[in-house]
Amino acid sequence: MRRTAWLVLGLVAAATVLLMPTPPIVAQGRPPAKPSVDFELAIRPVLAGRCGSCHGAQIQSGGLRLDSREAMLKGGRRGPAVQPGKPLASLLFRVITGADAALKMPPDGTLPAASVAAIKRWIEDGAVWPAVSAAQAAPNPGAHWAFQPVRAVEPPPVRDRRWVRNPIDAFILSKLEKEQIQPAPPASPRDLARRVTLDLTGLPPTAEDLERFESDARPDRYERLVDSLLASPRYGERWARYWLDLVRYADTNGYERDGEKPYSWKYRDWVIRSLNEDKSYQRFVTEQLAGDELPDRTEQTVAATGFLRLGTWDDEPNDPLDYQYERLDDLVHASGTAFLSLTIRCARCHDHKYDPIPQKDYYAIAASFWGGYLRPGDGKLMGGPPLDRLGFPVLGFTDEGPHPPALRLLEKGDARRPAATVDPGYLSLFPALNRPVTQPPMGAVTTHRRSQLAAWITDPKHPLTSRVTVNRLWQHHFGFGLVRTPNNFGMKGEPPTHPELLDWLARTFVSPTGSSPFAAGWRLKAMHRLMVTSATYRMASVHPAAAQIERKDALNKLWWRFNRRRLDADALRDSMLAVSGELNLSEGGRGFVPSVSREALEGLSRKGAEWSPSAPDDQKRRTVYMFLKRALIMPLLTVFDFGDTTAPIEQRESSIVPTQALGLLNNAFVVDRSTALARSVARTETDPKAAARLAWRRVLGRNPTPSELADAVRFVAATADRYRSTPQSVSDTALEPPALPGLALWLRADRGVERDPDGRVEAWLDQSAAGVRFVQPVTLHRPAMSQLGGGARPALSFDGNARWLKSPAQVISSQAMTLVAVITDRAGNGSHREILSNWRREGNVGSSLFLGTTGPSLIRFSDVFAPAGTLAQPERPSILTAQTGAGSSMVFQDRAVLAERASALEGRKLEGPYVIGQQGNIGGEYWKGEIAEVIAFNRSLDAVERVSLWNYLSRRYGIAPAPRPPSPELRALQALCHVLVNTNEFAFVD
Amino acid sequence: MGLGFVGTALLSLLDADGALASARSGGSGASSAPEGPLAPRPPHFATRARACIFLTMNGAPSHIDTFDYKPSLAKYAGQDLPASFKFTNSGGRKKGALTPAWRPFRPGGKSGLMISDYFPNVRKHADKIALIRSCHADSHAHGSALVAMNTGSIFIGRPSIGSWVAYGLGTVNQNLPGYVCILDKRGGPISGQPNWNSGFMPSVYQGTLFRPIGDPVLDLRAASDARTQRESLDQIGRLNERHMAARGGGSDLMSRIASYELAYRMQSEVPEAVDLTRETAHTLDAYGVDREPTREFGRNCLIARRLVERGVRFVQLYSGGGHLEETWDAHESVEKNHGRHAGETDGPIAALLTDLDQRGLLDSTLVLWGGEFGRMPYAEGVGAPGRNHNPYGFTMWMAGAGVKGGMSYGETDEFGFAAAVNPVHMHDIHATLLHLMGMDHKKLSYLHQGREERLTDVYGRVIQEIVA
Repeated sequence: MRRTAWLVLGLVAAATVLLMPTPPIVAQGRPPAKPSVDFELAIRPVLAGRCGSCHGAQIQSGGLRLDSREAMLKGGRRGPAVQPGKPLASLLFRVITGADAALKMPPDGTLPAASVAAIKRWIEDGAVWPAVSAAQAAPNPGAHWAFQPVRAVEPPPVRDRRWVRNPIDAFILSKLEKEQIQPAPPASPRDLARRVTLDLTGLPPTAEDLERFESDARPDRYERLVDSLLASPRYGERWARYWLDLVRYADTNGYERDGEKPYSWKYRDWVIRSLNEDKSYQRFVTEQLAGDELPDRTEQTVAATGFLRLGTWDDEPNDPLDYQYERLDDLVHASGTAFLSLTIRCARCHDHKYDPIPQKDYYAIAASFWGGYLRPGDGKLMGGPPLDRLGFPVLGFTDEGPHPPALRLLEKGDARRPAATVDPGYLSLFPALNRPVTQPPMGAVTTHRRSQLAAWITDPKHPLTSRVTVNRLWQHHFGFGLVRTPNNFGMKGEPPTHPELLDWLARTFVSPTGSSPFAAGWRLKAMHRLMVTSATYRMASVHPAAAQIERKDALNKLWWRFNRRRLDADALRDSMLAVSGELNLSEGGRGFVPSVSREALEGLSRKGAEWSPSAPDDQKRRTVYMFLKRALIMPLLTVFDFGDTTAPIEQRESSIVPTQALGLLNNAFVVDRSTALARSVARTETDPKAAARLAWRRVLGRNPTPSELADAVRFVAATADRYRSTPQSVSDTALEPPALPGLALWLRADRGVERDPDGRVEAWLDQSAAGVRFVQPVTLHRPAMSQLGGGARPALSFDGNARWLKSPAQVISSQAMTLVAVITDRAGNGSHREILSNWRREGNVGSSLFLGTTGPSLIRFSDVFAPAGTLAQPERPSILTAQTGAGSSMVFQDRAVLAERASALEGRKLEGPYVIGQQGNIGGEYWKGEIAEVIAFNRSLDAVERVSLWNYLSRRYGIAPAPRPPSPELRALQALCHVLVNTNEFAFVD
Repeated sequence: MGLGFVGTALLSLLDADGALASARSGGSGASSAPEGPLAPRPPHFATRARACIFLTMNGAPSHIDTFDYKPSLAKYAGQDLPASFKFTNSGGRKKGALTPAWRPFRPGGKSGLMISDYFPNVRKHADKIALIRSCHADSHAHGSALVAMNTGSIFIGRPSIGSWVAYGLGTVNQNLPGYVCILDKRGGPISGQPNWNSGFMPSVYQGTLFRPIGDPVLDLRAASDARTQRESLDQIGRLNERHMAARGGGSDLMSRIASYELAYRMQSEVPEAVDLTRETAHTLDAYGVDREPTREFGRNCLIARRLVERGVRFVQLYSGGGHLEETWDAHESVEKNHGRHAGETDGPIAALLTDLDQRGLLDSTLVLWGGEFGRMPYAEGVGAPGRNHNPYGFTMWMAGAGVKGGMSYGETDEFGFAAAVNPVHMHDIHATLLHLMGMDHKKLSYLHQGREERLTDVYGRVIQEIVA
């Protein structure tokens, strides 16, 4: 309304306007005709950028300011700068167009024609000056709540004092009482125990855990439960994930190569360990920012600086000069966000538009990191220091030296427009915290700026650090923060729902232990305990009067009930493994690589890039230990809102979409878990009723109701009936190699072996139609005979001591092929060694065909597919299968895929001679172990053929037996288990 | 942030059945979400376009050999690019002399728009096409340039164009994704997932990959036989009903119940959408689905049409996948490389334009063609037949959805090296694309960490000159 009036008045009588009081023109209320010029894009930047330095808040040349409409109307010594509606009469327009004989502006050139036109149009339209937000119009941005010191607050009085379990509840209840809202009743003991267990550990309690809790008569049973959960290593694994989200954790660099960041996992393990140890938050921050500069530095503290190395890294930046500032920005942003929840990054190119952060402050903070290895260097180091500079094999950060080049403020953030040098410093927003940044001590090898920055951040008087941190804890316990923009405490963020509570928590958090009843001394576990033992946390998620209260507070900003939540991606995956009984709780180390479907690999630009899923047991570890490849995150996780790893994630989405249902219904991971669960249940219970009951207890932690049980038994019986009429066949067909087309080679140690008088093998005759003869004329180089794995079957034994056999003939003649070998690998952690090879120094280096291993039994299927998985238990006999063709290559040990890639091996040169037991004619890379059988086909076998061949070999050697086909009853039970993991009861936490 | 939306597109469905009314009476969960994340939303202004098909020529086609007619290059053949031009010779590759187009240009349509013999069939549609011959991009490296083409920024982590469109307009068919991406069988684009990610937006807006092999959507194929699956779903439904009843309702619980039925329907609708057996022999022939080398891209173009017909908002097709010669990255030989890739795509693209037109869909479907940058007017090495990367000037084109046909906008310099007249940045392409789809690129924003983020950041200009 007011704005409309302004505009009309402005158009007809500027003089009148001048007499009016001049409130800011606010954005609400539309003018009759929308101005055709975008003020924020076309006007404000020009006035601020080209005029502001002489006509702004600091300097008013000619007494004129051009940073508000009011000031422009008031004008300077030559009178008003604009006459709304009349550009030609406006001094501003006249001086920029050269129409004013006396004055020409700007003094250093002319404005672009587009800007002149925009200003003309803007004045014609009334010179409207939109106030961007109420916040911006505030007289003093420093008055923003989050920038004030944390207050000492006392819990408010409440009427219903019995409800209050600790001071948190007083703050919550006091507001509810004011609004006349009754808090929800307490959650049932079962719901509460499940809630707090999943909350603190990310894993569901077992039925026994829940029953034990329910039957525990001690008054402090809940506190005891909380303490035991906080003491569990599972706590650190769960809560580390939130921090890892916040610090953009992943194990690769992103971009074209998407190479692995070596030792990134040490940072992840450091976070988990720090949380489990309940390291003080001050120390937690300090190690991440400056663990390399600490006097008591250890491998652990240097690994913590991995925080500064987790960002994406482009090995082929468009502009290397620019890119160092981009990386610098990543560090400012990551730190500003994680520790302070401020968007300092916004001040990189200009003063922050909303928060009182001048551009200079951005560079003052950035200067702390400017000593690091940001400039283009050796690509192998991935933008980091050499390991010897770090002193430990970790993904760490350190400075190039104690005195880095000066950092200059960049005009408009443009690397080619350096301006004044900016000294290291802090945010001018907090004058009370100001302190000089001191020079590094004598003999220092780093700038010591980062440790000083850490000290500034962790100053107990810092208004943000403590508030931000307790807010994050609250957020993960209650679903939302007290401040619902957990990564933005600036003026565009949301205000806290309970400012006094936030301050009370913040103060309690940083107060030295013992100084007050709840003082936490910067320890997170004390804060967790405080929050989860409150009555607020113990409320039910269902409220009898929800319908009425939602009308007033649908978003539950008053915390009148607990927020029900869907399990997030990690908790869901971990829970499935837990209830199936398969969860592997081994801790730490390099991440495991999950199996993903072949279709999912299609998204990779490098289809030749091998995807080597870890051994099945390894894949049953907790999700926090999963290898995170930026170009391909396990699809089952992303569909459940596992975040994008390039930027800090404050809070994961919690969507509910049909593709999640597709995943839980059809994804092999979920099917496998329900199968494992059914097998495990069937091992204990054979009676259908008892089995269903046990399945219920395992998945949902409770006994089924009688009607649920009856329904389930009916479902299982009907399903089993149906399966009986359509039995699932696991093929037990066994086929000898010649029964499959395309056989090119068949060596077996029980046929065609010719031995010399010493019993050593001088020839080995191929049993296929080709009849290739492998020979060793030199006695010294002949392999011996042995029993495979000490068992009953013969094998050729290679002792790694220059034993091999050779045939001049070409063995394989097709680019599509399958190689199968029955072997043991006894080289331990040796160098390269080959089973079969046609390598020749002259002719096919790099394009030869071979199958062998290296190091700790990493498989090499020619140079282009290496490593191709790792042999498990290499010293025990196994069937190694490698095949390629038709857009895919795969390697198997026994019946499990070890590695695959979505393309065939590129052009192998296949001419002979071929050798068994070494790398071609290199005179080296000798096999150490046994070879009982080598089979080759000139094509890629299909799955059925493969299985029939394996069945044949597995019977002959007594290894890798075919899995038994599940009975109809078991399959039906699996269907029931699958149903249960799909239920809302499993997926939600009350 | 905030609510954590609860598949609320589903809520509207349920509401239609009256199911929601009873559930709202009690219970937990955020029930006040006004509408679903993918519910159809009105554009900022009335417009013809309902959908966009982005024909992405991965690897960067050479503009001077395809759509940017530079007869003057013949004059300069054998000379060097003037030394006054400052530029990055990407990857420090070899530099040779200026080299004219490898195939002749000829006029097409009534407009006589000059298009080369790499695209003889597309040329027949010249009167439908607006060439934008003055594009320029921010990076000379594929990884970052592809991401910039798809998200506006050379750094990974921002939402892709399709995400913005799905966010802005929702989708009219809840049984299909709003944004579909079909990759080339040879591989994904460099940088992978960030090319179709939703960045800081909810993941519901990210592109759904329709896989070139196997099931079009991951986990689409039922893990059990149809009967068992249906009975399992019923069993899940019964357990969920009981669970919900005990809690007095809850929109989150209800959404998840509905999501299972939707998933069930997707299992039949998605395969139907990519099932080409119901297309006539004539159509299959026109797209070249029955023969090489057009089989794959022809199939993908035809699927794109079927998806658009079924209400999908944004379909992105990749021609070229993986690296180097498997894409349009013609370092070795323009003739060999473009001969192959244009040979695969020219016929199918022409068929798509014809088909959309005949079905009355061209008016409501924007077709955008282009790659992440162009190629240098000089040869890669003395007398060599390839060309290096060129982000300084290249051509993209648009057709349909109210785009003026038979015209070209903007020009590169006489060497075809850099945009010289009316330069068009990728932000301008994005602004124009959004405009044609009824959205003001300055208004389509998403609040992230206190900043109203836009596809075009603080840039972008709608190329009004090509809008009819």
